Amino acid sequence: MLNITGLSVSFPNAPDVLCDVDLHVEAGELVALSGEPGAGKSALVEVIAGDLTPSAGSVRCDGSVAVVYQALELCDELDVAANLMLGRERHMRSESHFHAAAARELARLGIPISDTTAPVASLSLAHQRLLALAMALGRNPGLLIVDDLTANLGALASATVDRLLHEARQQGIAVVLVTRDIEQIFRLADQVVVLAHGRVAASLPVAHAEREEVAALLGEEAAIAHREASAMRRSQELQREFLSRLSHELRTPLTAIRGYATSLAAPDVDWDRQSKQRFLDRIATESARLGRLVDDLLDFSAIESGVMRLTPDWCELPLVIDAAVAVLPEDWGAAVSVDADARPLWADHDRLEQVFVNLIGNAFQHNGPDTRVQVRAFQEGADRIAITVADDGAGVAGDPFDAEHRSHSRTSGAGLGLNIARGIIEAHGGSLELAPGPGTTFRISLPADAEVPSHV
Amino acid sequence: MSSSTRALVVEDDPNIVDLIRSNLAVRGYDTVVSTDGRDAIRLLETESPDIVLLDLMLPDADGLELCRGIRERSNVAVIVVSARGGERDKVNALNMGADDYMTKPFSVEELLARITATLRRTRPAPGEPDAALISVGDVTIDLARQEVLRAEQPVHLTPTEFALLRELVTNRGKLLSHAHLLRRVWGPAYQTETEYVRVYVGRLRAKLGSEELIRTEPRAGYRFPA
Repeated sequence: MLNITGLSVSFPNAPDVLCDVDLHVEAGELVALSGEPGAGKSALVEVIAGDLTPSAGSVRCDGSVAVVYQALELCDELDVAANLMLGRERHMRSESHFHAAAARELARLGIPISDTTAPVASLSLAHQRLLALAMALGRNPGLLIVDDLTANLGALASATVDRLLHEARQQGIAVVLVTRDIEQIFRLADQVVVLAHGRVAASLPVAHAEREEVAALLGEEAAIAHREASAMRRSQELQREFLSRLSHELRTPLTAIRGYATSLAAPDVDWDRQSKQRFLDRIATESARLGRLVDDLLDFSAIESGVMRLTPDWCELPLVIDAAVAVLPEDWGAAVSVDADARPLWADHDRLEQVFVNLIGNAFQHNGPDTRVQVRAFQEGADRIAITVADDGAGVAGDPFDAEHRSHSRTSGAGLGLNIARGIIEAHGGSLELAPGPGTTFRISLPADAEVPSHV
Repeated sequence: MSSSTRALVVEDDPNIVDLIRSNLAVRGYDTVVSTDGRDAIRLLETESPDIVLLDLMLPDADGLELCRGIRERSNVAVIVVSARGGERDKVNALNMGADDYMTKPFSVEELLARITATLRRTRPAPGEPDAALISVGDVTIDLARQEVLRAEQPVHLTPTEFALLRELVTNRGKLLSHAHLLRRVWGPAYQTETEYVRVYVGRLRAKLGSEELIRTEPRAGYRFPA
C-alpha cells in the first residue's frame, strides 16, 4: 500500500529533517512510527500526506490517504454531523436524514456521541479525537495515518481508538500509527519503526521485539515511563493478591462469628449447654483474632504511609524480650532462650516488644511447637546493637518479606507480622534482615548512642 | 427435612466445619466432612451425598476445578461457599456446574434456606405423563420421561438445567422475565440473582447446540419459540 524508499527532506543550512528513510506498509498492516520528539515523525507524516515535498527518494501510495492529526482539523463552529459528513452532505435529502445518517455512522463505529447537533467545540477532547478518527475512516482510505491520538486520553476512549484501528486493519486499511506509548505499540502494531535525527534507527517486527529494547530506542524519558509503568503493574498485581488474601483472612473469623451467633439466635433449635458454651467460646476466640488482624492492618498501613509514631524511652533489651516471651503461649515461651548483653537503648518499648512477639511467634507458626528459638543481643561496635532471633526449623524459601510470599503462605493472620517488625525497626533507624543459618535467623541492627544517661 | 438427607462439607477451616455440622445435625441431616480435594472426590463416590457444600479455598486443590470434577461424576446438588463475592467469581462457579453460590460470612438462616431451595430444585420432579414430545430442529424434549435428545443422541442435563428448560418449554411462545424464571426455577429468594439465569441459559444453549431454541429478548427475558 505504502512504499517509501530513500526519502530525504532537507533545507539549506540546516540539519536534514529526514535522511534516507525507507518505510513499507502493506494493506491491513499496522506500523507504529516512533521516536523522540524532533526525530522527524511529523515531517514524514507531512510528506506522505503530500504537504511537504521531499528533496530525494520516492513515495508511492496505492490508495487514498486520510490523516488524523494531533492538532485536530475539525471545524469548531460546525456541529458533529456537519463535521462527520463533510464533503458528503450533497446526497442527503433533508436535515433530519443528514443527522440520522451521522448518528447511524457513529453508532456503527461504537462512538458514544449522542447529540449530532452539538457544536464540535462543546465536545470533550476524547470525543473530538474519536470524531476526527470517524471522519478519516468515513473517507474509506487505503492508508490511514493517525498522529498520536491517545496521548492524555482516558482508558475508555483509548480502548475505543484501539478497537477502531483494529477494525480498520481488518477491512484491509493500512495504518501508520505515530505514538511513543510502548504499551500501545505492543498492543496494536505489527512493526515498529523508530526514527532518530531524521533516520530510521530501528525497524522491528513487534512479535520478536522486547519492550525494553524498544524503550531504550525511544530515549531516556520513554524508558523511564516504561519502567515506571512496569513497576506499577507489578505492584498493582501484588496489591490485588494481597487484598484477595486479606479478604479471605478477614472473612474467615467473621464467618465463624456470624455463623455461631446466628446459630444461637435460631428460633427452631434449643442448643444443649455444651454446644452453647462451645459456640460462645469460639465467638470470643475469633473476635480476638479479628481484633489482632485489624491491629496488624492499622500498623502496616501506618508503616507503609510513614506515619508510625514512636514513644521512645530508655529500654533494657532483656526486659523487652522477657515481656515479649510472656505474651506468647506458655509452651512456646519455655522453648525460647535469651542471651542479652547490651547497653540500654533509646527506643519504643512496646513497639520493640511487638517485634519480638512477631519474630518469635513466626518461628513457632512456621515450624510447629517443638521448635527451639534463641534470642541473642550484643553490642556491635561503639554505636550499634545487634540482635538475632534464630530457630532450628527448616528455614524459609524465598523472601519472607515479599508480598508474593505472604500471599502463598498459609499460616494464620494476614502474614504482615514480619513486615510490621521490619517497619518498626526501620522507624528506629535500624535494619531487619534474614541472615544465613541452618534454620531461620533474623538479624536486627539498631543504633545505640554511646551516651547513656547516668540515671538509667 | 427427612433424616436421610446427607451433606458432604468440603472445608478446611475447623470452625466452619463445626458450625455447619452442628446446624445440619441438629436439623436431622447426615454430615460427612472432607478437608481436602482428593478426599472430597472419594467421599462423593462412597457416601453418595445429596448435596455438597464446597469451599473454594482448599489447601490442595483449586475449588473451581474440584467443582467441575464433581459435576463430571455426579448430578449431586453443589453449593459453592466462598470468601469472594464478586459477580465474576459467582459466574465462574455457576459455569463450572455449581447450583448455587454463597458468600462468606453467611448466617445460618441463609445456609439453611439455600440448602433447602437447592435440594428442592435438584430433586427430580415428577414426570408429566400426558406431556407430548416437543421437537424443535434436531432437538426433542420428552417432559414425561425427562429426556432430551439432540440429533437422536441423549443430552445430559443437570436437574437445574432440566428445570429451567421445562419452565421455558411449558410456556413456549411466551416471554418469560428473568424474575419469573428465577422465582419458578430457583425459588422466591433468588429473584434478583440474574446471573444465575444468564449462566444457565448459556449452558442450556451450549448443550442443545442452538442459540435459536432459547431466544433472548433484550432487557426483558427469554422465550422458547412456539
